[in-house]
Amino acid sequence: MTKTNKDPLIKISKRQNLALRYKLLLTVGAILLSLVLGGILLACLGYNPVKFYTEMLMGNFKNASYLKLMIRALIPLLITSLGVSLAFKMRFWNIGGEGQFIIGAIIAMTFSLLIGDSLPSPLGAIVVVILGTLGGGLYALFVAVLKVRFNTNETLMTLMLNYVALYIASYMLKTDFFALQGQGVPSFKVIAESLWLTEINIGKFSFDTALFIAVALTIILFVYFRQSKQGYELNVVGDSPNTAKYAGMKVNKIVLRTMFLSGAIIGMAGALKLCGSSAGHTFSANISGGVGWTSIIVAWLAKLNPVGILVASLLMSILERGCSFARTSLGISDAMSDVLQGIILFTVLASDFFINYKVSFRKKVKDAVTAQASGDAADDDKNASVTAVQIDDGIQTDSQTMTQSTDVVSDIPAGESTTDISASENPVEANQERPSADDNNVTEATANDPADETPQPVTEAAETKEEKEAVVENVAPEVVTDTVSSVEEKAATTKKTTAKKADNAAKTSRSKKSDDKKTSSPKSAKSPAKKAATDVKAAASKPSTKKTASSANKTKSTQTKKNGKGGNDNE
Amino acid sequence: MNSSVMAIILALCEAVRRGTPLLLGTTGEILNEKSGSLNLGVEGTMAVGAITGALLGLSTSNMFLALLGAFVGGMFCGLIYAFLTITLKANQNVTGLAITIFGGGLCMFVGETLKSTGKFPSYTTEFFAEITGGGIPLLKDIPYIGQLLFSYNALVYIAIVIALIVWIYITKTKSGLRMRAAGENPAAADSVGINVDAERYKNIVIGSGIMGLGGVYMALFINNGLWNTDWINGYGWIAVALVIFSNWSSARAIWGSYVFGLLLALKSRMPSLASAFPSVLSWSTAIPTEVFDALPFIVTMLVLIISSMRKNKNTGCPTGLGLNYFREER
Repeated sequence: MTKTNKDPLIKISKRQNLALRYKLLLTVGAILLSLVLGGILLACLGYNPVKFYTEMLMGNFKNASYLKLMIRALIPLLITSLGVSLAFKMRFWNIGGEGQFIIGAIIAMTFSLLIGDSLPSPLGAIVVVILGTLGGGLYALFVAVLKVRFNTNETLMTLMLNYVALYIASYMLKTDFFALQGQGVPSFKVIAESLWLTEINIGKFSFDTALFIAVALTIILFVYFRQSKQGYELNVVGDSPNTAKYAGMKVNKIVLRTMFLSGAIIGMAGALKLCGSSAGHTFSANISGGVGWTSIIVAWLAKLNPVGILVASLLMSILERGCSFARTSLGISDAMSDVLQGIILFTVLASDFFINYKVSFRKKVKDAVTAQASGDAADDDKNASVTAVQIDDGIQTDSQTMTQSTDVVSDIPAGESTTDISASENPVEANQERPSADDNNVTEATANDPADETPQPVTEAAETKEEKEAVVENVAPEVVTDTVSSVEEKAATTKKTTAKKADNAAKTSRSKKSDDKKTSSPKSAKSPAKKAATDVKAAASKPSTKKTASSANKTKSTQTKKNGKGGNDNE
Repeated sequence: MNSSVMAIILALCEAVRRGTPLLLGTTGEILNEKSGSLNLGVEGTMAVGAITGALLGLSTSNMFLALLGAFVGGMFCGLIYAFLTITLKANQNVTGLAITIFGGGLCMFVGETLKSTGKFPSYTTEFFAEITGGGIPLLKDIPYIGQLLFSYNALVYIAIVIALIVWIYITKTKSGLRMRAAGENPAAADSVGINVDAERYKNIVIGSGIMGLGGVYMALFINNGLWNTDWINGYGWIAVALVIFSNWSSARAIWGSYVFGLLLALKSRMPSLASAFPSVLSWSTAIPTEVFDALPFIVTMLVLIISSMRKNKNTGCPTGLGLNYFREER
């Protein structure tokens, strides 16, 4: 800035709102890119990526039974992701999905074994699932309480609870209550048949009720986020807890409630899986199947939108099922799904950047004009410093011209002089008043029109600037308004002097001001004065137009600033 | 008497052995956090360091190459993290988790693939001797003390030296001051001409490299270079918590990680301790091993809770931690 007039090579600025289709396009592009990257990795290890991806699709859509397996894998992931998204929406980093899932299943398992077959078929399952739900919720609530009371790091706490839950689960296998010890390897008991989820047939397929619960939950959460007061509160707390506090929301209560709901939904996923057919109606230490981790990716991929979560969890299930199919057919480790998920998350995070920010490169010198227009922000500072100098001049000349103008006033006929004084005192208003003063002269009124056009943007600019001052604590806008008025004052006073020179009535002098094109009636006496007036006007209008441009630019930046607080959380 | 002293010494040695990867992970994370980035990808970074370092080390039988490979592997993860969070301004938490998922998956994928195809490199005898041996000659033969202080492999000492160097760098040097400024108040740092992005990049990448060293330690010295589906097994997460425990000082992290190392060592050392002190520790035999497995995580939680309850005014936590810096948003 100081040395040359060059803009930075790459300029990054906040973007307001990108159309949804571009967002989708970017996200889809990111996923495709990640698949390509995954393919490159496979190729590096000596596998044929094309074959891998075709196998992957085969593993999901080869026939109905594969499709069914995929949908079965989808259910717990979908529910868990919905639960995780609740907490994430509030910027509460619940990465304890794994633990809450396992705890939900553990509680459900415990009560299933306690209840046995004492309850009739649907009721028993309902009771067990509800208890598992409560278990998951309480497990999460514990962290939320600590967060609210002591501001304990929730990310690490939920994570540590994952390991605790995992070790509880692996201990359970050693107990007589949960497992059949017997000979050889102990195995978990299978829960009573009356507690199994009912299977519902749709054509060739049969699914347990968990699928319908999952879909219903998606819709409920969609409505919850969009329509309910609680969903709105969630968003506010997530964007800015202080705003929520000032708005009178009970932030602590919201955090506790949401975290409980989040854990409860995840716990329910665990309980449903336990009672469902996909886990064989029994418990295992790896019952979660890593959904706690995958759900984080799903939730972020879907931008925490329930419908998006449905799509994203479908994608992830296809990925996981496909990878485990490829493992058997091609002998490629199914950890590839983790790698792909990681890469997808990377590319999607990267695509978020292009959604939230605009990247513009420096234009070539050829289109210097447009470059200058676009690079206004950089120029602004310079303008400010230049106008700052002008101000000083302006103030001095003001005081001088003020005294001059009072002298002038005495010479000028009364009717005009008053308006002129007001003009020198308050130029912005004067611009508006002048036409009304000239109303009596029709020719002048018409002649005034072009003249009025130039001052008007100035007043507008001044107004917007005033607004801006309220928003931004920036020196530059103040400077600009001052200079605008000072320049205007100068213009007014010089006009007056030209009026004096012309020796005509003030009428003609005023017509001179506006006579850019039309008025050409008085010639000889006016020509030098006219020139001076137009010069002044040019001087006055030039910076003012420049300023309107810059001020528009600035208002834009303030808007982004305002929105930025909310918007930057989208990252 | 003699055997009971030996039991204690062996337990402490195991604590140091297990504390070292924690120390490396914590030191790396301190570099990250002090420059303002809450990198939750320690677990994944260590995993990548483990697989690159172990593969390079095992196939060449060269310890230096193993460490170099691990460092580069860690730096690779750090570079991804830095690029996403600094250049592309992605959310730090999610990016860290992505690194964890990606790194764990990559380690698992490469390891499983090589294992299943039988290409996983195995030890040469001299490399095995290098790993299991180590220690400072002569000094390690001093009874008890030699065993306790001088019998470890080189990486244990390297970890301590790295931690001390990092401590000096952060607290005493000018560039450390710059890096802390970038972490505490990036806008202010920027206004005095510090290149915040460059500071963060630098420290994230180097810190992640150090985490990678912790990873290769896990692979070669804790798991003896034998393939195991979870080489890192939560050590990375404990390291993240240890940063809080050590109050963002890598000098304090040294003993902090050995304390946690002791917790991790209890599972394998408790039986011999119990037999050495039957009157005091006989109860421990009744405790299921899962309790010892979970113990480090439970203690970590307690540490987190206690440190959050004590509102420490002299906390070393950088104020700008976890916040991306975008100049136009100052």
